[in-house]
Amino acid sequence: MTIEPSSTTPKSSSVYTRFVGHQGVMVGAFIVLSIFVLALFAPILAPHDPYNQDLLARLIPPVWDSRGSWEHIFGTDHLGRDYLSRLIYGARISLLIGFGAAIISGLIGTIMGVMAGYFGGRVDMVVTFLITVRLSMPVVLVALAVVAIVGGSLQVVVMVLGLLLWDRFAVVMRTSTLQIRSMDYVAASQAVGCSTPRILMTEIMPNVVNNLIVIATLEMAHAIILEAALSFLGLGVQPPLPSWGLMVSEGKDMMLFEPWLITIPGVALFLLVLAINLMGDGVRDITAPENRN
Amino acid sequence: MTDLMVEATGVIKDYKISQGLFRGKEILRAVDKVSLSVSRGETLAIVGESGCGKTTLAKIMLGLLEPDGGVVKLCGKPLNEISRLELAKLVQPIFQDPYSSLNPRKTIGSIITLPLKVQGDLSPETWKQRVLTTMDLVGLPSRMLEQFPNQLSGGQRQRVAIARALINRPKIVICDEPTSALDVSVQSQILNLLNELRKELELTYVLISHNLAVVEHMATRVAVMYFGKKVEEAETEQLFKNPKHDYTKTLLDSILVPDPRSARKNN
Repeated sequence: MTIEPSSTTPKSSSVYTRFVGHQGVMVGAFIVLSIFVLALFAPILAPHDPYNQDLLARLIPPVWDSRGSWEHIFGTDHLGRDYLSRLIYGARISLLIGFGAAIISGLIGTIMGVMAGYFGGRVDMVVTFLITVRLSMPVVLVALAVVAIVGGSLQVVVMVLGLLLWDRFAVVMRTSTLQIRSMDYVAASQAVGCSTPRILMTEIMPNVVNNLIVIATLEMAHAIILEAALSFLGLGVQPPLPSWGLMVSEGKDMMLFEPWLITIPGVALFLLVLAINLMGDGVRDITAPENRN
Repeated sequence: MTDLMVEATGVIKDYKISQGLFRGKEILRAVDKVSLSVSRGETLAIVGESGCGKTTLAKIMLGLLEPDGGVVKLCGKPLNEISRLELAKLVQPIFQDPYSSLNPRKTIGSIITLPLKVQGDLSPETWKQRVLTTMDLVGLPSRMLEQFPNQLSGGQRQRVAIARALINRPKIVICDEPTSALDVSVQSQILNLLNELRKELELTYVLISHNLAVVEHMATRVAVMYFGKKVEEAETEQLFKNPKHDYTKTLLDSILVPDPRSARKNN
């Protein structure tokens, strides 16, 4: 038989080299990793106690302002707490909520979506109905109502967001499973005698997992922003816990004269969300089988 | 007497087509009381136009679809009495499109090993050797073991699909348009390979095709399907020389000949 020259020199570039070669994912991963390290080593890295109030040193501007000092690099808030330390500790809350909510909603959404896409028929009808029901509920309103009834705390916020944000997972997983299910290799593995769980795990999941990662990053960013919104409205993480959304919320009264109070946590939120999205896009590019060569 | 490998009697398959929420469902009969039998070592071709139920019939014979009526017997045993793993050892498919019949996330090696794994084959240490033997049998070099499907050409992919189908030495192979997605030069390679394998491994083929040249080359007997029904069945030579049903005649007339003028004179 004749052998094509292309196949004689397999350029099986490893995932690692493709990862390093992708700019977006490198930038995204760098920012996320930095914030992760900040969050992990917060007690060592934070220059001050984030809860320590000093009413004599209230509203000191950050270091680039003429009134600022290196003592408080990002200044202090209205209770004289060091803003940099609160920002560093706040990264813990944002990451925890982002990952927690994405994991919970990802589990729910993926199971529902894959089942609906694979089995079709009645299962699909039920799941589609549940998705429609969920989509017709305004997330912020429901989250507000639940938090108002149960009481706001970190765990409650993670649970509520996790139980509310599965819709996009379910929709995307359902469509991509439907697509993969009609492929001949699924029929082939059935004909080979694979059991249904085996087909789901080895034929379907590996081919939908890159979509899952992309949605997970989107929802992670979504959850972080929602937590900020909830905290801003006073129903998310409770003070004195330093959450980025709460910091914006506490700074909003003094927005006009001390704008850094909201710009600093705002920029931090923006950077984290941007970095997560960059990473998601990059992971999709890297893991796509078309790009393996 | 030759023993019957596939015996289908009065097979029916209906598809319900929903016409809207509050309207009734229309029933489309994809396969209408089709009876077929294939003896050991034979190649039965099923021909017919797109949408006439060939592939549905193939899926029923593979046990991938449940018929709405009729019985399919493989080696004298009704399909619904054969267990999933037993069935997999008896009958295997080769699909039309080698670009969708291989999981893009798996290496060629693991794709061909899968049937052994699923059967719970007792001696895992022989797997690699058996995979290599089978790859050799279908003309794949062993260095492709660690490659992914998208690094292979269409013909090589189809060889992988054939290797996966044959590694457990099934008795019946159902080829659903095995070459229609391939280049003409590769088509003949694959067809010759299938023919050689049939002799070597004593396989029985059910060949689904709308390419009459392929059918003439491969089949010993031909069944013609039209709108879900079997309209004619005959030995290949006989069918090509002396078609009985009108649809078969039209089908044969549609074959393109190199020189239409001389062909017309001969008639």
